[in-house]
Amino acid sequence: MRQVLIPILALFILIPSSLAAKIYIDITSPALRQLPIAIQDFKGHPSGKEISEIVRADLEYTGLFSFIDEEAYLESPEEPFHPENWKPLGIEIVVKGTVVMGELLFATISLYDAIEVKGILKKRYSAKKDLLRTLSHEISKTIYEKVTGQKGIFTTKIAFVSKDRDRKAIYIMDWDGHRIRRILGIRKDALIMTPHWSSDGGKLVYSSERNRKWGVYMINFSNMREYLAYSSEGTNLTGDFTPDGNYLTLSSSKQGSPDIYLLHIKTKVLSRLTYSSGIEISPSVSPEGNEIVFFFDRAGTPQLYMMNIDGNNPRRITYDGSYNTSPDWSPSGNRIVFCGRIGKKMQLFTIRSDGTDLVQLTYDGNNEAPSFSPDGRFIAFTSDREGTKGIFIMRTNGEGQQRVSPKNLRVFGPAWSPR
Amino acid sequence: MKQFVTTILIFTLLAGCAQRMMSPTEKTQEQMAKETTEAIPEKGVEEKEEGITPFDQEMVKEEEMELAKTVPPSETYGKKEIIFEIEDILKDIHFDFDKYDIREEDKPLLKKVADWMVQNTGTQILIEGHCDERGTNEYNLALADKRAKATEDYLVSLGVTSSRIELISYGEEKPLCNEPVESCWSENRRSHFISFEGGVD
Repeated sequence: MRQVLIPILALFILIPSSLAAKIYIDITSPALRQLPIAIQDFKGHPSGKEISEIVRADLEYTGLFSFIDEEAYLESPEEPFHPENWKPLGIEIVVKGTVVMGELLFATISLYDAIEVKGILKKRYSAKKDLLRTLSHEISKTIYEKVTGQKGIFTTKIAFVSKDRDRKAIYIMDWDGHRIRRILGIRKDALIMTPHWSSDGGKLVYSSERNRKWGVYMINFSNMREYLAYSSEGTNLTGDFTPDGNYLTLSSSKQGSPDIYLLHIKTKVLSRLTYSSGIEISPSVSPEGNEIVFFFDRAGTPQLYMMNIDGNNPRRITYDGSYNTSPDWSPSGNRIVFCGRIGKKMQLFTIRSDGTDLVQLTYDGNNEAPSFSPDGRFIAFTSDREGTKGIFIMRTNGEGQQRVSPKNLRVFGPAWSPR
Repeated sequence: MKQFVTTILIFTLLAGCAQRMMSPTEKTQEQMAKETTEAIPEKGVEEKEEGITPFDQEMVKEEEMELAKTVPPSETYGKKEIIFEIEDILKDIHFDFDKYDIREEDKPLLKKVADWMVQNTGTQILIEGHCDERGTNEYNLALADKRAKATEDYLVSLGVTSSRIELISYGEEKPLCNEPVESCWSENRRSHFISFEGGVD
């Protein structure tokens, strides 16, 4: 056996690392060091500078890369890559690019490994000129995926509700706050609550009060039509889709006080999951689709509880604080973000799904309505720390808190898209 | 022995490949640039046709979407629609923070409402539940729902038939005032009455 093993081991050692894809950053490792990278201005058409700036900002926001001042670079964007220009600066990955503007925008990028001294990627992109930001984000995604093996959030979006000249509307913007556009506006006095995405990103579901009735409505992006998914007596508030997309979790007060139900979207069959006379709302489904975390006030004060997807085995998970609400389950599985009251303000916390390891993330102003990014590395939320409630994003360790919604828009209920 | 030779052969072959990659310092820049392109591991130069995701292609209509079924307000309330608020009798009642119990001081008010409804058998009322801004929007919708229900229950206990009462929760979404102070908050924590003649659909 050993004699067979030796040649096999040899194969693994000597095969060019490209075949056993090298991971430059292992993002699951607890001891994370930032990867020193250089993204040079893309040469050619002037828009190349804007594109490389967007890529830089994208990668910088992940907190996984370190950049030095471009003044210190020894090689200009026009010169070909030479590792001896980068190694002394400690830079390990170099990105160069060229942009050409014709009928479409064309960009070609090359990635170099300054340590192993080789090219690791060359890729060409094209897009309509007005999609320059989308193209830039695709470039960021390519680089990030090459280096970490993960897709990142660069092409994701955030949906939210805003009050716009007296009427509520649903908007979508890029995760970084750009290209904000309204996708649904409704009649003047009607209300819309937080939207939720289906796991394929093809639908948005939200509760809306119209003509004094609360219903659950859905937008299907494939045909841009709005559908009524559920309506009944009482207050109906939608929660998450299940990951398979077949069910909606929701809370309804049709039987008295708000309880949690599972709605089969196609057949409209409703299954009741909770039965108490307290308030049970805000269900969020685990990424495996087998558990639900929700808000319940049985203990006298609002706390977070968990139960199986069939309603069995309900158990409390938060014990600190007198008011814990708005849970969102991380798509990477083991943490839940929520909003808890401290003193007179609401702050954001994360907790492991077994109720341990409580971590406070915000301290300034009132911070609510958290929503995880699809890779579980970022959180979108609302904050009034700058006056009017705005949408902010941050890394899940609390770093990098910044506003992304425009200052003049009153907003709430951000929902990070799944892709 | 055979296995040993195989091992050596494999090593040699692979060493040969590896060597080409691992000692570029001897080569000229030009050669290296060329080789770098050739050494691209997976597929060589990748041509990606579009940098656009389907989502972008299809979505993003900027115009307003109307409801699938838009019902003008007047039709919702049946044939004879007269909406009015009898200020004298249908006054707001109020609640303590985070509570939905009917307060003692509001009971005489509710008695007046019940008496009025018993005397005016044709009327229907809508009870709106409201909250102050503190707490999350969803929780406040649930709390206001309980406030509206508690108000209805009390009126029913005084002899009003529940079929004449409709409920709606507005949570913190329709405040009377916006100042973050107790005098405003207590004003917002309320059940509000609207009376109709001719039926509520």
